[in-house]
Amino acid sequence: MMRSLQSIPRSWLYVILIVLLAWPLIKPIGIKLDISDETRRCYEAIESLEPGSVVVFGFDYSAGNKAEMEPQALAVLRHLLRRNVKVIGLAFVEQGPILGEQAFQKTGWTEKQYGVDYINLGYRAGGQGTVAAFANDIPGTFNTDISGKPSTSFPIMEGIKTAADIDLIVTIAPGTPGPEDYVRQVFSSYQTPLVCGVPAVAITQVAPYVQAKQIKGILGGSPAAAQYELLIEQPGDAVAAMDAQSLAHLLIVAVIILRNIGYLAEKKASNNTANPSGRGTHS
Amino acid sequence: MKSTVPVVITAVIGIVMILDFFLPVQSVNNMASLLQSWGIVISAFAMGLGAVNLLRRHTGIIAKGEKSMLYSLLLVGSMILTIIVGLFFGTGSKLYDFLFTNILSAASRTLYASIAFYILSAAYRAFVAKNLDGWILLLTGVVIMLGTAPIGAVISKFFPAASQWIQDIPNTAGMRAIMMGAALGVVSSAVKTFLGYDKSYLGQGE
Repeated sequence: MMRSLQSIPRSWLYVILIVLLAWPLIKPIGIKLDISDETRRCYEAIESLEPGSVVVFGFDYSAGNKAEMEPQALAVLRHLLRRNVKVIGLAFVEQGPILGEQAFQKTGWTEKQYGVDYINLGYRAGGQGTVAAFANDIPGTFNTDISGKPSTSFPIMEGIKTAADIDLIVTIAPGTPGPEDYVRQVFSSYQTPLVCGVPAVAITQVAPYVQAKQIKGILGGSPAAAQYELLIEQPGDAVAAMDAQSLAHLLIVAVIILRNIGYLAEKKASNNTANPSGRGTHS
Repeated sequence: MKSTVPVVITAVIGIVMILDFFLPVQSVNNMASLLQSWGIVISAFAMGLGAVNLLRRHTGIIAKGEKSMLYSLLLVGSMILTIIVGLFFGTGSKLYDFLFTNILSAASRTLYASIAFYILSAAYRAFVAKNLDGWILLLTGVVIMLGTAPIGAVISKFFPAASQWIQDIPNTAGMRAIMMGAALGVVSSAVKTFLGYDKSYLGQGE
C-alpha cells in the first residue's frame, strides 16, 4: 500500500488534474478571495492619477503568456478607462502591438477617440537599449504609431518628449524587457512612477525593487489579476479561474504529502528489515 | 589592427553611454541618443537576419529531404503565409488577426497550459524530504503554493502571511545579494571589454 503511494501512475494524476481544473470552471465554487497589499498598492497608484494624466502602457507579453498576463492588462486598462486618463500603448516585445489592440478593444478603449485619448505606438526592437532610448526620446524612438502614421501628428503626443512627461508607466511583462529594465533605464534617470504585472514565478525577482520604492506595486500572476478585478468591481476571467487554481494547488500539495508518507513508511520498513532487533549497529 | 579598431569603437561607445548617464552635457546626451537610435536599427536588422537564417536552414532541410522535413515544411509555410498576409493585407487586418488568434495564440496557450501537468508530475517526483534541505524545500514550496492560491487563506491565515514573509525577508535578501553580485560582475566585464582584455564578443579567445 505504502509502496504504491510512491508510484502513482502519471496518467491518473493528469486525469485528476483535468477534472479539478474543469469542474470549477463549469460550476464555480466561489472560494473567498482576499486582496493582497501588493495589488492594493497598484490599484492606489492608478486611483491617485488625476483625470487627463498620461500613462504609458507596455504590452510586453506574448501569446504564450497571454493566459496569465492578459487578465492583468485588461483589469488595469478598465481601471484606467474609468480614471479618464490618456494611455500611450507600446511594446518592446514583437507580439505586443497586436495583443495591445485586442486589449484596447476588449476593455472599451476603442469607443474613445484614437490619437486623443489613447494610441498604440507599436513595437521597437532592441530590448533594454531601446527602453533607454524611449526614456530619453519617446517620439524619436516611437516615431510612428501601429499604422505607420507619424506619432507626433496625434494630439495625445503633444508635450511628450521624455519619460519625465509621463505620469505613470504600467508594464505587463513576463520576462525581458520588463520591470527591471524600466527601473534601470527609466526610473533611475527620470523617477517616473512604475507599476508592473508579472507572472507568479517572477514575483520574487521584482519584489526587491518594490521594497526599494523603485516600483510602486506589482501584480503577480492570475491571483493578482483576480484581486484587481474585484477591486474595480468588474469580475472577469481571472476571478473565474481562481477556484480552478486553488484546487490545482491543493492537488499538488496532496500528492507531495502522499509521496512523502510513502517514502517515510518505506524507509522505516527497510530500517526494520535491516535491523529487526531494533538494536544499534555500533560495534 | 583587425581587433584593435573594434575594441576602440566598443570602448568609445561604452564610455559615451556611461557619461550620458552621469553628465548633463547636451553634446554627450545627443551623441548617446544617436547611438541608441543606431542600436534600434541594428536590432531590427538582426531580427531580419534571424528570419533569413531560419528560412535558409529549413529550406536546406527540405531540399535534402531530411527526417524532420515535415516540421521544416510547416515552419517555412506558416512563415511565408504570415509574411504575405502582413505585407499585403497589413498587420491590422482581420486575416492577420485571425491567423494570430486562431493559430499562434491558440498553440502558444495550449503549450503554456500543458506546464500544469509537468509541474504536477515534477512536484510528485522531486519534492521528497530525504534530508534537511529536502524538508526546507518541501515546506517552503507547500507554504508558497497554499499562500498564493485563495484556498490557502480559507484553510488558515497562516499561509498567506507566511508566504508574504518568505517573499519579503529571505527571498528579498537573497535576490539583493544576487543582484549586487551580478551588477559587480557586469562592471568588471565592462572594464575588461573596454580595455580589450575580453574579446569574446569578436569571436576571439575568452
